[in-house]
Formats: sequence, structure tokens, C-alpha cells
Amino acid sequence: MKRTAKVLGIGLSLVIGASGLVAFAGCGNRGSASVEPFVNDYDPNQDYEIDFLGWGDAKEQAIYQRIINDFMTEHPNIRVHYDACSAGEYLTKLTGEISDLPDVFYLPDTEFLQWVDGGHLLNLLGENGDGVDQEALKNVWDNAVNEYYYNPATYKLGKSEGAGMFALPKDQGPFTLAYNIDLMNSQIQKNNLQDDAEVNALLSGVPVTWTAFRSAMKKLLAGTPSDVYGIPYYELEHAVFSNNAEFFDEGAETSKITTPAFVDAVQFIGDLCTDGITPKDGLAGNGDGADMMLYNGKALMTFVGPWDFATIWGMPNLNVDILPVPYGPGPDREYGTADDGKSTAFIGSMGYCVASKTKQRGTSGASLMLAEYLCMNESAQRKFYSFGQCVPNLKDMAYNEYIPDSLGILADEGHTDPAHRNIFIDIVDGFKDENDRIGGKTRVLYHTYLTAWRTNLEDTINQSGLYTGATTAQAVLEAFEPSLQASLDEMSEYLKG
Amino acid sequence: MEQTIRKTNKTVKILVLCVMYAVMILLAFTMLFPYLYMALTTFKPMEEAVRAGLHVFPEHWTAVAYREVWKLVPFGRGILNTLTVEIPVIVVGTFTSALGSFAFAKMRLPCARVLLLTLMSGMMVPFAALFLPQYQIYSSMGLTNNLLPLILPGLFGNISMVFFFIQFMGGIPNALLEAAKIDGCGYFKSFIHIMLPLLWPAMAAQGVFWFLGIWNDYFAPSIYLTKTEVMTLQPLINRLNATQGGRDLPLVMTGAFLSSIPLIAVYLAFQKYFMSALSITSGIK
Amino acid sequence: MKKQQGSKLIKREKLTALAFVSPLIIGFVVFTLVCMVISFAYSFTNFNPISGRMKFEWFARYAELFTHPTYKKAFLDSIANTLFLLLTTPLCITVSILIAALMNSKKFRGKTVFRVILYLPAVTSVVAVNYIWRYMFEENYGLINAFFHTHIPWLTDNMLVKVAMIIKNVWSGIGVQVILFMAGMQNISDEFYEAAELDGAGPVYKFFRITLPLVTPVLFYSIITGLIGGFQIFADVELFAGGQYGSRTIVHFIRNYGIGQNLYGLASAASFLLAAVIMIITALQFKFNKWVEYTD
Repeated sequence: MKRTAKVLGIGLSLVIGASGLVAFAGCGNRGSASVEPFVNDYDPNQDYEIDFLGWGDAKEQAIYQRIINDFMTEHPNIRVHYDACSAGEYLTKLTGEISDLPDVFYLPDTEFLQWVDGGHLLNLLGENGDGVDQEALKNVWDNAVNEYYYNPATYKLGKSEGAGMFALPKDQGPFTLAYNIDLMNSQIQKNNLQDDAEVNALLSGVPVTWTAFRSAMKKLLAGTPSDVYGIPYYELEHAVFSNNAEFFDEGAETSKITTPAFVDAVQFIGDLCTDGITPKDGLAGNGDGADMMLYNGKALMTFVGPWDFATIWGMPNLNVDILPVPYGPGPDREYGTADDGKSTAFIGSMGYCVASKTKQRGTSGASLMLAEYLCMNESAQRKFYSFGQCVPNLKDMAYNEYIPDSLGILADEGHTDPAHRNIFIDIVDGFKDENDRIGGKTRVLYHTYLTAWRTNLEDTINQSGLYTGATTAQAVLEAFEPSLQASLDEMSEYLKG
Repeated sequence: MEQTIRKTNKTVKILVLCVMYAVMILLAFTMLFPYLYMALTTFKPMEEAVRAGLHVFPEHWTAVAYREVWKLVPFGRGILNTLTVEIPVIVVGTFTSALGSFAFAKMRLPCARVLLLTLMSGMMVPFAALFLPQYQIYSSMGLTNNLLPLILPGLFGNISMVFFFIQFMGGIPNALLEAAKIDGCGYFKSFIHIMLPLLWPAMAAQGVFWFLGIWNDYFAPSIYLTKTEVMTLQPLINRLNATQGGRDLPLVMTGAFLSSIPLIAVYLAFQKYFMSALSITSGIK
Repeated sequence: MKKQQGSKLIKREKLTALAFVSPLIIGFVVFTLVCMVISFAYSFTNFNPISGRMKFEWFARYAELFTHPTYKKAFLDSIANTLFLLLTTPLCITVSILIAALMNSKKFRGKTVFRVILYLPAVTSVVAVNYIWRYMFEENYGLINAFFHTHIPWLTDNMLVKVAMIIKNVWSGIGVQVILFMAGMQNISDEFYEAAELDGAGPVYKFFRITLPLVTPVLFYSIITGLIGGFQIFADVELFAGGQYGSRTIVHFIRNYGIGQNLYGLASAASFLLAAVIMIITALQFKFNKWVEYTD
């Protein structure tokens, strides 16, 4: 008994020691992004098999399969295995495969920083003609292309000296307001608002001020049953960016959520709720529920992206058009001055990444070809927009073909919604000059290493009494600021340590 | 005087009986009503299910949800996957548990008390404390979206089952085993030929509960499995809700309802065995 | 000669016994012990599997759970939620004992039918149970609000969602408990009752002085398993409450920050604390079990 106990005891300690070591094995062994130039290993005489992981509902997956089939027809020596799962599970699945990532895969831009820092993505810039076709890239939206540059030496996102390019943009969104035309018209009729200046301005496609927006919505909502709202929720970023405000400074190091402009943006969202324009949970009601409210006539407006039109086209009795988001007065709280907000929606969605492991597998070249095809190939982009998947990535196609529907592709199918599709492009091309009042900005989570702080911010706002008017945005944000600053400090240290 | 008291006693007794039955009928109703409601909802059209007001019975009976759900949810696959986990785990796991219990209960096991205490303390460790390292290990071995992570741990036995078997075996007289020993039977042989048959009611009883536990497991599959083809039944139905729940309530209810039918059917058919399984388990307490 | 043979046989028996328990031990070591040690080790680092970063940071994670502004609210709230939800156990047990006592009385016919009915939720898919109750608790079109003509936001109010979860869990938990208690009550020999009746005891006296004390073994078991299970509620958060803030339990926190945010260090710290709490509470219960009356 004693001897067995001794043996067991020693064995146990060994096991515990060993597992501890296994756990700490990763210590000091962090991955990091490499800006080694892309080396093209593609040989047209060789056969390749590559894996592509994406997400989407059944429709989107069908569209991608068709486009991939086209790619395989063009390159018969490359076989692509396309796999997809639902958006909600995508990251879990991808993380589960982290030791053996697929050759090409989607990556949301909000996760980009974490993944590129871990060294999982391949630098697509090459020398002497290797790597991504930089000439062709000039025809893709500038802000889309710049998003996926990263410099591991300075930890800076975006184009800079010594930065590598680690993904090709899938599409730039955007995400903007849309309204139910029939419901809107019936409300205009009911309330005799045909000649109302504010309502007409709201629906004109020119951005309106927050004050005008609230006033017009209130007028439109008069006489509706209690379960019909103006908008199911309001996107925090849209309010913040459209008021010339920021979450934090450029390096994501100092919080700016108690600046007057940011506070006003949050207060605006709270006021929408106390006005009765949004339901009780002003930020919390997003997701499938919000879309359904628009489709079922329970909301006048909601936020949509181009991908939602695939569903909208499938509903014959539904007519939807889009609008730019309203803008705020800016930090000086006065309209008509130089620092007014500009109507800013958020843009960007995902990139096509090539796994760094493709170097060892010898499939880098083939993978890049697939990524380039999906991102920039003309016929693929044409298919994407005609199926209601996104707006084209290519500038000339967007302006010359998509907006006027010059090839008649959309008209042929009766897919004429949204009539003002130029607004999508207006947002995606950013702020071209002083007079461009409609543009877009990447989501704030793109700039930070982790995402918990954003969820906390939203939860805190939702749990506060802001929507019932019990508290003010100022109070809520001041209480939250230490938490945000602590997170920013932590993430900054994490990234550089 | 006595007669009146007796009569009052009788009235009180009848009253008490009535109250008792009323309470029990109310209870039965409370237990059964949700099932009825769930079944009825499956026959409602989308808009009716989300209409405010007290509507139990559908106004328009429609089987549209049933037609849709077969297209969207591969029930057969889900059940097959669940069974793929259940069968190896229960068959092998019960065997290893029984084998181990035999050693504890009927053999001279060195450090038995220490070992048993250690194993039982292991039972108290929540899965929440173990799944992250397990996930790391499995994903580095490429075993995500694979049913193996769900099967492997179970093959090595179930400690609460072991505990139960030890108690049960305590009630089996040693004489039988001694007789076998004298006849030159090895320990393993006497385990298989003598103990196992005697252990059968206990194994069946515990096996039933283990089966139910795995069938209703949501946490572990939701972590390891993200592809529809490998999902077990519970997360599969939840995926239906994730994609359709905001819109089509009867569809989701149909999915949930259909997923419950197999087990409930088995239960109703074999309820005698379930009940006796429960009484054996509680008898030992 | 015989003695030597004897000790050889005993040695062989011991070795065979060890061989028999080896699967159990191996399973324990690999899936529980090793994983616990690794998890414990993670809790001292800032491990993130995507970036591969891992720095040893002593008790930083544990401190963060309670003090870091970003995490502490979620953590402490999840603890509060979990503790509140533990009320299910005493509630379920109380109701079950009463029902079992009722069903156990000699005058009651239909024991078998009722046992089948009561146990039904235990064999129903956990998904189905959660969905149907969520549907019934819905604020605008749920049956419960419709029946009582109320407009109670069961699923959107942070406190009410917990109440709704408790109601649902009591409903589904009664079956098992009632049957366990009934079996326990049936094991009470009639002699006790007869003796009491001779002394002129009424039903209430019989219940509180005989039935209750003699089912304490079952009660003990139910409390232990109820608490251990109660600390680990997870499926309900997603299936029933859709992730509603007021329903988020500690296991949900661990899963969220572990698999969701890839903060393995933080999640492991929280999970270690959870494991410690469960073990301590269970150990304490075993220590202070004088109130359990065993009759064998």
C-alpha cells in the first residue's frame, strides 16, 4: 500500500508538472506578421487543390459556388473546395482550425488586427511582378484597399512605409438607412405631409440634420399603432461619425467618449427613444428582428446593406429605397459651421485572406489567384451585384455600369430597388472633396485588438436609463470612460508587448 | 354525538380527497399543457403564432411548417450524429465503469479509498473549467467539427455510475465470487460471467440516465461542432432558431417538437423500465 | 510454501484490480487532471490563441475579474445571476416533496400515471423545453401574459428573466425529484407510521416528524446534485433567454470570454474560481451532514 501510494504520488506529480509545462509552452512564443515579399509559386502545369472558407445563408453560398465554378473553368488546373457556415459561427469555426487554416478565407475587418498580428495571414505584396496585381488594385476603392495594410514594426494599420498587405477587400458594404416606400407613402397620405418641407428633405437623398430627422419622423409616425416605429434601433457608429466625433484617437490609445460631440451622438440615440421613434431598447434591437420589422411594416426605416436586397427582391410586395444617414452639428453644437458632422455610414466588411501556411503547402500562388478573382474579376463582380450580394468593388463598374444599370441587368429581373443606389456608391467612395457630404468610415472595432470593450459600452448604454430619459448620455459616458481607457491601455500594451 | 363526529370526519376526509385530486389534476394539466400548446403551434401559420391575445387553437390549420422543416433541418443526420456519440459512450463507458467498480467493490485494490476520493472529486470539476484546454488540444489535432471530442472522454467511464455500481455490488454476496475463485476462474472471467449479468438492472438504470444526459447535452456540441453535417440534435435545432427564429415561429416549434418525439415515444413505450430505473437509483440513496 | 503462494495470489489480485481501474484513472488523469492543471496554468498568463501571445502575469487575471472596469461588471453580474438562479434547487425540492407526499398517501390512485406525466419533461429535448417556455413567456404574444391580461416583460427585464428561468426549471425538474422522493418515502417502513398513529398523531405530525426526517438522505443527494448543476447553467442562457443580460451565468461568461473573445487567461481564472466554489460547497455539505438520518 505504501509503495503503491509512493508510486502513484510520484506519477501524479510528474503528470501535473508535465501538463503545466505544456501549458506554458507557448510562453514567449508569439506569432507575428511577416512582411516578406510574396513569392509566387504558381506553376500553370501543375494541379492545385485549395480550400476556401466563407459564410452566408443558402443564397449567398449558392452565388459563391457559381462564381467559384467560373474560376475553376478559367483555371482548370485549380480545384477549389468551398465550405461555408453561418455568420454567427464563423469565427468559432475559423479559430478551431487555427493550426491548419484554409488556404483562402473570409476575415471580418473587425478581427483583422488580431489575426494579422498572430502571423496567420500572408503578405500579398510582392516584388518584380510577384504578388497581387497592383495596377488592377487601383480600380478598387482606395479605402477598401488601404484597410488591409499593416505594418508590424510600427503596429500601425493602413498604408505606410514598410507595411504589408494582408487581405483583399471582399466588399465595402456600406450600411445605411432604408425605408419601406409603401408604408412611408401611406403615412404621408394619412398625415397630409405631401408638401411638408422636412419630410420631403428627408426623402430627397440629401442628408438632413438630426433635428430635422427627429421632427420629420415624429410627424410621419403620428397616428400609427403602438407597435409601429420609425426605426427599430440606431447604430452607434453612424451617430458618432456623423457628428464629427471619435471613440478614441488615431492610435487607439486615448478615449474620446466624453467629448461633447460623442456625448451628443449618444444623447441623440437616447432622444430617438424618448421621442417614440425607436422602441425601448434603442441599440439592442438590431439583427434579424430589425429587418423583419421593416419588411412587415412595423418600422418606417432601418439600417440595411446591399446584401439585404437579395432578400428584399424576393419579396414582391416590398419596395425599399435608401437614404444617407442624418448628421449632427459637430463639437460646437451649432449647425451651419465648419465642424458640422458629415453624413457618415460605416463601410467595410470582410477581406479575403491567404493563410501564411500556404507558403509551406506551395499553394500561395493559386490562393492569391482565387482571392484576386473574387475581389477584382469583372464578370464575378457583375454577378455579385446582379444577385444583390454587394456593390461592385471596381470603381469604373460602380459608376458606369451599376448606378445607371447600363447593361440593364437589374432592370431585366425587376430588381430596380433601391432606386437611389448611387447613395451606396456615394458612401463607399468616401469624402472625395470639401463638398462631398456623404461618405463612410470603417467600423471602430477595426482599430482595436479586442472587441469586449465595445460590447460593454453598448451593454452599459442599454442598461442605463438613457432610453427612458432617466439619465443623460453625459452621465453614462463619464461613468464608463475609466473602463474604456483601461481597455485601451491594456490592448495597446498587449499589442506592443 | 359520536355519529356527528364520525360524519364530520367523513366529510373532512372527502373534502381533503377532493382538494388533493384537484391539486393533482391541476399539476397534470400544468405538466401536459406546454406539450399540447407546442403541438398546436406547429400547425399555425406564421402570422398567427405571433399575434397578441389568447389563442391556443389555430384558426387556420396548416402543415406548412412541417413541409419547410424537413427541407431545412436534416433530422436524420442530427439523430444519427447523436447516436454516433451515444452508442460507443454508453456501451464502452458502462463496461469500463463496471470493471472499475468491480475492482473497488470486490477486489483488493491498493489505495482504494484514496483513488475513489480522487475520482469523486474529479466529478465535481465543472466542464467549464476543462473545456478550454480540451478545445486547444483538439483544435491543434484538427479534431474540431468531429464527434470524437464528444466520444472520447465518455469511453473512460463515468464516476457517478461507478459510485452507484459500488453501492449496488455491495449488495451482491461474495459467496458467488468465492465459489468462482475456487473453481479457478480468473477475475476478469468472473467479472464477465457472474457480475455483469447480476449488474444488469443497475447498468440499465444508469445507462438510461447517461443516455438522456448525452442526448440533451448542448454545451459541448456547441463548442466543438459548427458544421451542420456533424451537429448533434440539440444544437442543430438551435441553428434553425438562429436562422429562422425571428421570423417563423411555428417552423422552430415544429423542429423542436419533432426532435422531442423519438425520445418521448421511447419513453412512453418503455416507461415501466424508466420508472424502475429511477426507483433503483433512489433506492440506493 | 502456501504462504508464498498466498502472497503471490494477493499480489496478482492487487495488480489485476489496478488494471481494472486503469481506464477510469487514465480518463481522470487525461481529461480532468491534466486539463485542470493546464487551465490553472492559463489563468496565470494572458494567453490568446490567435495571436499566440502568452506572458506569465501572476495573479493579474484574478485581479482583473474583480477590479478591471471592462470585465468586472460582466463577471460580478454573472455571479449574481448564477446565485439567484440557484434558488431553483430549494424551490424545486420543496414542491417535489409536497407532491411526493401527496402522491404517496394511501388514498391516492393513479400513482403510475402521474409518475409518467411528471417525468415527461426530463425526456424532452432540452431545446424543446426552452423554446416552448420562451414562447409562453413572450411579452407581446405569449400565452402567460395573454391569460392573465398582463404585459409583463418576462424576457427583456433583467430580474424577471431570472424568475422566468426559475419557473421553467422547476417545471422541468419536478419529475425527477418527485420520483426520487416517492421512492424514498416508500422505503419508510410502515411501523413508524403505525406507531405514531397509535399515539394519536395527525397527518401533519406524521409528515414533519416521520416522513421528512426519513427522506433526508434523498434530500441530501438532491441538494448536492441540484447545487452542482445549478452552478453550471448554460444552455438556458442561449436557448431560453437569447443571451439576455440578466440571464448570463458564470459558465456563459467563461464561454464568452474564452471561445468568444479568445481571452483564455481570464476565462480560465473564472473557471478555476467556479470549480473551487463548487468543491468547497460540496465538501462543506458532506462535512455538515449530521442532519441526514440514515436508517441502515
